[in-house]
Amino acid sequence: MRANELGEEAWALRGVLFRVAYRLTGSEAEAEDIVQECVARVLAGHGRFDEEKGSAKAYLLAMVRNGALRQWRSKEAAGPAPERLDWRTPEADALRGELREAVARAVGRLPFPQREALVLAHYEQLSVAEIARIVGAEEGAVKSRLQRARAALREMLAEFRGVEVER
Amino acid sequence: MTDQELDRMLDAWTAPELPASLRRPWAQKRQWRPWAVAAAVVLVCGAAVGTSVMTREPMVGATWARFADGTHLRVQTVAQPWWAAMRWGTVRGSSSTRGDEHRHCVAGAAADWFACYALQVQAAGEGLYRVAVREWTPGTEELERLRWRGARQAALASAPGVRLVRRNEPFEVELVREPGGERLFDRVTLSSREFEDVPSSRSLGEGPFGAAEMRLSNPRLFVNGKLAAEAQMEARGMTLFFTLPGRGEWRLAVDNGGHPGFVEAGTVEGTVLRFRQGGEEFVLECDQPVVAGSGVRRLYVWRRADVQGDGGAAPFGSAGPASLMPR
Repeated sequence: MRANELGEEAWALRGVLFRVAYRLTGSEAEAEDIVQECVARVLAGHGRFDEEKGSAKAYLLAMVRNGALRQWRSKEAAGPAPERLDWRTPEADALRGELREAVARAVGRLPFPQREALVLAHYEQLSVAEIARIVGAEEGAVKSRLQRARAALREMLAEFRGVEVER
Repeated sequence: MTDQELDRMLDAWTAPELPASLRRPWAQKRQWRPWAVAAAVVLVCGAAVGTSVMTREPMVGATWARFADGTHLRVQTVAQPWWAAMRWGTVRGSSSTRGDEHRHCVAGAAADWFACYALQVQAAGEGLYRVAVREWTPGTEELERLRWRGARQAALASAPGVRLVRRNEPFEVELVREPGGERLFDRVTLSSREFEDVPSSRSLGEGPFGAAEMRLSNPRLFVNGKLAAEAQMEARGMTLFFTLPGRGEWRLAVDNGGHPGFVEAGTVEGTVLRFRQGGEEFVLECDQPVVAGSGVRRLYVWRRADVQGDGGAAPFGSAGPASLMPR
């Protein structure tokens, strides 16, 4: 596949790529940068896409994932972010119907490997095998990360049990 | 907390819309290459075929009925021009026939609007029928049954009123007309004989949708082994759907038509559709085979959490091709 074709594929999949980047970074601006960079790199021919190793989608998702991982590492190196002053308790969130924000925060608190497994499995409906290819891990490890992520989320979101989901 | 409860919570976190920089049309410059000449020739030939496809009117739904005097009725809901089906390809319908009157309603996919009319038909002899079309407003109970309470009733764009129509000569009841010319209308045909395209009179896969046609017959939906919904009904189309109250809608197809929302998630084999999503197993059992032919077919699933399941009497249904659905 030529760079231009892969670029078109990246552009066609930009919605998926943006969603994944956003959920991995928790930031629209960072997600936008990551997707832009992904498309630009592909168009510039900076990539080693091998059709025999997987689909273009998996390749592009891996690029986005790597971009998000770089962001996460640089944040980790900079130390923990200061706690927000308006940090709300789960009870208050429930009262205000802000489950959405609570889920975003809970997913953001997951270790990166668990977060990416959850985002790709739950939100993008990818199989364990596909996720393993994208993140470069064994399927068993992905399954285990997924289980740990869900267990952690259960604990973090337990306060919201019974809260009606807003849409 | 069950898996289902956790999934529902996670679904509350929706991703924002694409930022403006990612919404502009694809504008990558292409270099003119020798092979492009050959491609251009193919393109010109393809355009001829494409034009014929695009000028065809997409039918987004159809209903067949029979009046007490034996007159057969067919109502085909059509979006025009072809791109209007991107907007109205997922409309829903409801109809009933009693005596010489047929009541027909079409509603938006999100049930935020509906348009209804009643059609009274009397044979006038010599292959003619006297047809009276009037707007009809369903009662509160009916709206409740359809789960359309609170939806806005759209006035019919135009209706023929009272007129004489000839057997097998279709007439139109215009449901919606946009200022840009896009319109959604019912093409109504009357006949003294059963229509050849009545679903029950032909085999699965022999209709216009070919091998991509799917059928729901008295479906029973199991989620993680537990019965979640069932209905006594039959529906055919290029996509099937079911809704679960508060969780959204699932659209199913064996041909995803290039729609990025439909992802491969399971299989169709015989009378059973089976797929996994979000850590849950969905099994849809039917009385009749779901697709024509034997063997296992891939099943593509598009979950639409933004479309609320309403817990209505008929959480199942069929719709047009995936390729025409909104993206």
